[in-house]
This record gives sequence, structure tokens and C-alpha cells, in this order.
Amino acid sequence: MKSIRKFAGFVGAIALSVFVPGTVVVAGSHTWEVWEVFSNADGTVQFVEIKETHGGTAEVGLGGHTMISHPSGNSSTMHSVTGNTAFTYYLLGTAAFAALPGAPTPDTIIPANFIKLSTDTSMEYSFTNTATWTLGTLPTNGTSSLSRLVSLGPLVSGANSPTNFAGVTGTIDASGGGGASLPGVPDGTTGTPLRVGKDLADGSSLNITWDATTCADANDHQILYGQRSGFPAAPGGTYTLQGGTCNIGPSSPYNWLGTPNATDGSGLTWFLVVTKNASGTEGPWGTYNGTAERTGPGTGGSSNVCTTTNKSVATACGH
Amino acid sequence: MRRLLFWAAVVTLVGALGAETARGAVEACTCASSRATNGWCPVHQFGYIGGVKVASRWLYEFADAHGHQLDLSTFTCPACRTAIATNGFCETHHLGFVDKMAYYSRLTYELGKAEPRPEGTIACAPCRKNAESYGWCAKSAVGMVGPFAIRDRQEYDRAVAALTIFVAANEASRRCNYCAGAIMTNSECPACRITYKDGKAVARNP
Repeated sequence: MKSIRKFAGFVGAIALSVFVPGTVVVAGSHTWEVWEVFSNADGTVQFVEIKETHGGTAEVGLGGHTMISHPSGNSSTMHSVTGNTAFTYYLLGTAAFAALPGAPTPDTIIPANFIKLSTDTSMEYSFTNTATWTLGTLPTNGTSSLSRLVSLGPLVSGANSPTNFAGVTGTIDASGGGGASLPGVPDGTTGTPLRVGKDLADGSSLNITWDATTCADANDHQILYGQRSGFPAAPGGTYTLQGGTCNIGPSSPYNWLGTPNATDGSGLTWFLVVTKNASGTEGPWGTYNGTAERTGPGTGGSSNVCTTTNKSVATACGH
Repeated sequence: MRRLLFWAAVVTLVGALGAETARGAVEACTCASSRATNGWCPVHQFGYIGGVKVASRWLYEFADAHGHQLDLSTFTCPACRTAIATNGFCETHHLGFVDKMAYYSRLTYELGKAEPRPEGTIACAPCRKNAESYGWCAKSAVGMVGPFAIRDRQEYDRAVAALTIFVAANEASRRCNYCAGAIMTNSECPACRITYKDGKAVARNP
């Protein structure tokens, strides 16, 4: 009998340990807000970030929601998360965003131009929270984003700071557009220096070779040229160009036919070979003193020739 | 011998309990209690909110009929602060608080404040009838929204108004969950591009 009582007590203990519930944590998904919105100029590099803003530890049900850009209606599904959600972030980004240095891995990949720059003025975490901006105020300089500073506050412009659910945060520079790396053409400090030889004795045709492998440079290239009078008046000044030879392609060598002549009587022609991407952004020109970038007359110090629209020095390789 | 039988029984019992726990602890049928608790039965794949049977898991999750334990210091809106202090509802953010727990719709907030009355505990016959759907009993001065009793008439009326919209959303969820969400939030369904207001479709966008 003693053994039976002992048995009964033991069974009771097991049953209690199995069936008495602990603290009940019920899942939700309502405490997230659209927190940060980013796009570069051509819409290839974009991200949207949401944040759990009220310390909810079990707001894991993101899979029931979509992210919607309005009024285009472009939408993306999301997935639910696991773990403590209090004050965490969830990141949606384009593939080109994900490929950029400094970009945290997106929790969800969205297509390029998810935010239709020509029309869209709000981002909705479906049925739960929407962040709005005035058309034209979403920065597209490749470095700034719109972000809330406080829960349910307005979006304000500032440096981008994408963060994913794992808590990895970073800052990207997409001023080069397209997400493709725009390195400098190596000058010998890095990689093999650019070399030039005469195809014809009078110099009207030159053979140019450059190092396209050290910096994994698969971009199109262009030649920028000028004459002595186009040098800056002082170090750090702006170079004045005579013109450019456009779209010379991604691979070396290049036979430069019909080379320009100086018209200022100096007999001196200078030139650079620079990278350029499909959205019209060119890569670095190199530095004039070892640290500071040479600048041209166009936007961001770009050449303003060959329909170049901007310049990126974000990729360190080659300059 | 008895000792041997005892330990054999214990091993068998522990094994059985362990197997049951591993196989089905989270899949137990909760139909018996889910109507009274705004619960979901994972075995039979339906739940209840305000006594309304819900077959769409998406809508059930979206309706989110439970209180959220949050860091209340993060709410800076004055109306939210007042609501936290008074078990009230912030109309600006469609957010209610009951006993420091946050509820993300008018319906769930009113149900959170209401008194759960499981089947068999209601003495008043009209109230029992009302608990089958909803209704106000003038004699008892109690409104029932499913198995939830609400004693304040205005609160009851607000709960019923919200329940009516939820019923419309529940109906819509048979064809499109996102329409159900749009009905609940007076917004546009991202899939069907139908805009809803007060439970009704008011525009269809191209």
C-alpha cells in the first residue's frame, strides 16, 4: 500500500509537470511600424525597414502581412520570425542593395523599383501602419533615407541605417547607382598601371591598356580628356575637359583612334580612363595628392560628358 | 516483485506521457474552450472571436483578440497615455488598454474589458439566448457578445458595431483574406484593389 501511495504521488507530479501551463505568450504582429525607406536615383537600390516599436516580445506574425508601396500598389510578402521581437527590425531590400558593401542581409528580397519613384508617396505594412512622404522628397542621392525618429512620428531625412531582424546594421553608399561597384582604373598604386603606346607615329591612334581584373571591373569605360589650360588653377580645383570618348567597353586594350589635339597652343593633351555604369554614373578619377579626389565640372565632380550624370567614389579599389 | 511492477509502471507511464507530449502537446483539441476564450483549435482549424466562428487562420491572427504585454513607456501620444491610465481607447491610433494590456481594435478591446461567461454559467434565459450571437437584455441590463457580458450599454453598442464589421470581414475571408483585413481597417485590399469603409465596399480601383 505504501508503494501504491508513492506511485500515485509520482504520477501526480508528472501530470502536473506536463499539463500545468507556464506563462502564456501569445503571438501578434500589430506593433510594427514602417521605420525607414530608401531608394537610389534609378530605383535599383531600395530598402524598406520596419521596427517593433513597443517592446512586444512575441510580435512574430509578420508572415500574415504584406508591404505595399502606394499608389503603385507594388507589394511584397514577408515571413514570420522567431525569437524575441522587442524593438527589433525587419528589412526588405533589392538584390542590388544586398550586393552593396555594408548592406545587412535583407530578410526579404524585393524587386527593383518596388518604390515607384515617379508616383509613390507612402509605404504600408498591410492594414497596420503606413508612413507617408511628399512626392519628390524621398532622397535619391544614394546615401540619405527617410526614417522615423520616434514611434508614429513623421519621416525625416537622414543618413541611411538599414538593420535586419538579426540585428545586423550598416550604412550603404549607392550614389553610384545600380548597385554595381564602380572602382577606379588602377594607377599602379593598386594593381597594374594604365599604359599607352602609339599605334601611329604621329600619335593620332593610341593603344591603351588597363587593369580590369584587380578590382573586378566589368563596367563600361570612357576616356575623359583635356589640354594644359584645363588643369585647375590650384590643387583641388576643377578640371576643364575638352571632351570624352564614350562607351569604350569593359575590356582592355582599346585602340583610341582620332585622338584629340590641344587647341590652346600647348601641345599637351591629358586623359583619364574611368568606369561608368548603365545609370550614367562614372567611377573615380583618382586623387591629385594621394587622398583627395580630382573633380570635374559635373554633378558630384563628374565629367559632364558622355551623358554622365553623377560620380561615385564609394568603391575604394583602384584609387 | 511489487517493486519491479512499480518501476515498470512508472517507466511505461513516463514513456507514454513523453510520447504524447512530443507528438501532440501543441495540437490538442481546444474546441471545448475556444468559444469562451476567443481561442483557436489547432486540430479542427477554426476559432472564435466574440462568439463568431472563424475558419480563416489569417483573419483570426489578424484580429489578434488578446492583450499585448508591451513596454507602456513607449506610448507618448497623450490620448494613449490617458487610455493606459483609464482602461480606455485611443481613437487616434485605434488602440485600447485593459489592465495595462494593449488591444489593437475596438472589438478586441471591448471583449478584453467584458466578462467571459462560459456556457452553463448564465442563469438568465434571454441572456443565454443572446450569448448564441449577441443581444441586450433589458431586464438584466447586460449585453452579450457571444459568451462575453458587457454591462455598459454604450460599450455594448460599440462592441456590436465592431462585431458587425468583423462578421463582414469573416464572410469576405472565404474568398480573400486581404479583403477581410481591408474591411477591418477601412482600407484597400492590395490584391483585389477594393476599398472598404464601415464594412462595405465603396470603390474598386483599376
